[in-house]
Amino acid sequence: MWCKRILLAYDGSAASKNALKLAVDVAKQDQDIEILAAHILKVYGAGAAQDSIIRQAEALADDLEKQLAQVPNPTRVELLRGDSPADLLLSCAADNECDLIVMGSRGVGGAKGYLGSVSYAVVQRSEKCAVLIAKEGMHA
Amino acid sequence: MAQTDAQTKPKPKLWTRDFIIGAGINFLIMANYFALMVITADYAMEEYGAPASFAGLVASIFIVGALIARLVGGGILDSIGRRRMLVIAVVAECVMSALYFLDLGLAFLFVIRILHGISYGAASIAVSTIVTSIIPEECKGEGVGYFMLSNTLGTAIGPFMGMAISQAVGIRGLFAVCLAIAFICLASLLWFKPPREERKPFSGGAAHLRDFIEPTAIPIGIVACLVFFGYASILTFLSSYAEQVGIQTAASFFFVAYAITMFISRLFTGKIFDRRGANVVMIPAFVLAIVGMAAVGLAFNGAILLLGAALLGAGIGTLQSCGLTIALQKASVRRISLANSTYYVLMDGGVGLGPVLLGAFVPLVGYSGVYLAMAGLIGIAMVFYLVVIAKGQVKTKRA
Repeated sequence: MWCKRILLAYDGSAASKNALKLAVDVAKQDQDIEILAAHILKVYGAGAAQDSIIRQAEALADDLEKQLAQVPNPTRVELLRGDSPADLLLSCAADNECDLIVMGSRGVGGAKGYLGSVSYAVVQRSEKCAVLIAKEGMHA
Repeated sequence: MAQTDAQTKPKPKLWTRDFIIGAGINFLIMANYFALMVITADYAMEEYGAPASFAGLVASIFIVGALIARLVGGGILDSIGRRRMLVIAVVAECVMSALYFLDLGLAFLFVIRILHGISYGAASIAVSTIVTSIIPEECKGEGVGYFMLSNTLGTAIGPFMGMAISQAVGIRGLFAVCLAIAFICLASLLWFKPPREERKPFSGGAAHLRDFIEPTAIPIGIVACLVFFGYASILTFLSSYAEQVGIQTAASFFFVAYAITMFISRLFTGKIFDRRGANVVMIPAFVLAIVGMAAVGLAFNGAILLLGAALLGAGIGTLQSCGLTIALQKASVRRISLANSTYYVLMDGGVGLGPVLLGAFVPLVGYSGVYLAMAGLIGIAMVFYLVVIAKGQVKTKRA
């Protein structure tokens, strides 16, 4: 099996929920495939707003853990902390020797398709990982 | 072809009335805080003859009040109710802003400053939590970015306002403006009607020190403490220093220049940090901060002062945000909130303690001497970073 570890980029958007379904479907092929689900905790800097962002990210990570608990494969949830989602995801994939990145085409970053620009950057700059992009409107 | 849900779903709106009002309140309370912060020490020395160290304490005790509010307020926010806490805090802001007019002595001013800090801290945490929770998921990043811009604008416009207005119409004119700002915040709450959140009962206090502090955040927190010790000397004594050197006009634009370079640097330092590791941004940031602080200490004209401001904005701004990233990255997933609060306690501790201790040195070495010493202190912080933290921050090349 070419794929031993999948990195799932998840931010609670409709597209990333579809990405979760795709990642689980791929992992069904072999119960030894590990799913590493990563949510980006963006560090904005000083202020009480950062407290709130952290709490929301922790709540999303808890929810993600509950969803992945149903999956028979080994799973792990990670909060990637930094500024640039594309760089954080690519570093995470490299550090964990992932074979496949699954992510949504649009995320919660912004009206101009912030995660659209992230998925584009990941596809362009991924060196050893295949990248599977889930669309928001797909029937997964 | 049948339209998909994605095509028929209406686009979520970021710029709602509540978002605009919330960001506006955040900006105004920050501007109020910084406007008073930059003139309080000067006011205490001139009006009440306070020695520089106590004048510094009167200014910086505000930060201690804000810190208390953040530590306690975060835990009780959802049991009291977010909007309720905001209303109470803004009413308190109005009362505190009015009390500055009363000439009842230095001890009274000291008490007002603590209470004002508490009301500011409570208002800040309440409005930040409300606004970040009402931003639609689809534009969370953009929305939070704009909200944080209200912080940056507050830190730039507040000190400018404080110095410009107090120079133009005197300190009581500034008190009047700050009171008006507080009332504008109060009035705007009439139109601020965010959705009610689910209330949670208060779960009780923590039993162990480990429930308050995240040990992995302490080393980088110490770096932040030392750097902001130096920053606080500028926040508290810049007005008096500028008057001494005769560069008041340039000084009123200090924090504008500071905020501009801080904002610009944040556009790219985060990406470099994520791509190439912390040391690539932290070490140049330390150098910029050291040179900037030295420029402030040696400023004999407005241009050099503003050059110092620009260098400090880029340097300290980068150290603050990247330092926080280091603190959060070192913590395990379940302890990120604690790492965040540990970092802030140490950073705000530096801001709070700095003016008190440094004020004692002002009569000995002058303001210029203090700023040059702070350049040295940031150098010590850099050495500490290199010895204790830098080794763990080297980014391995991607395979």
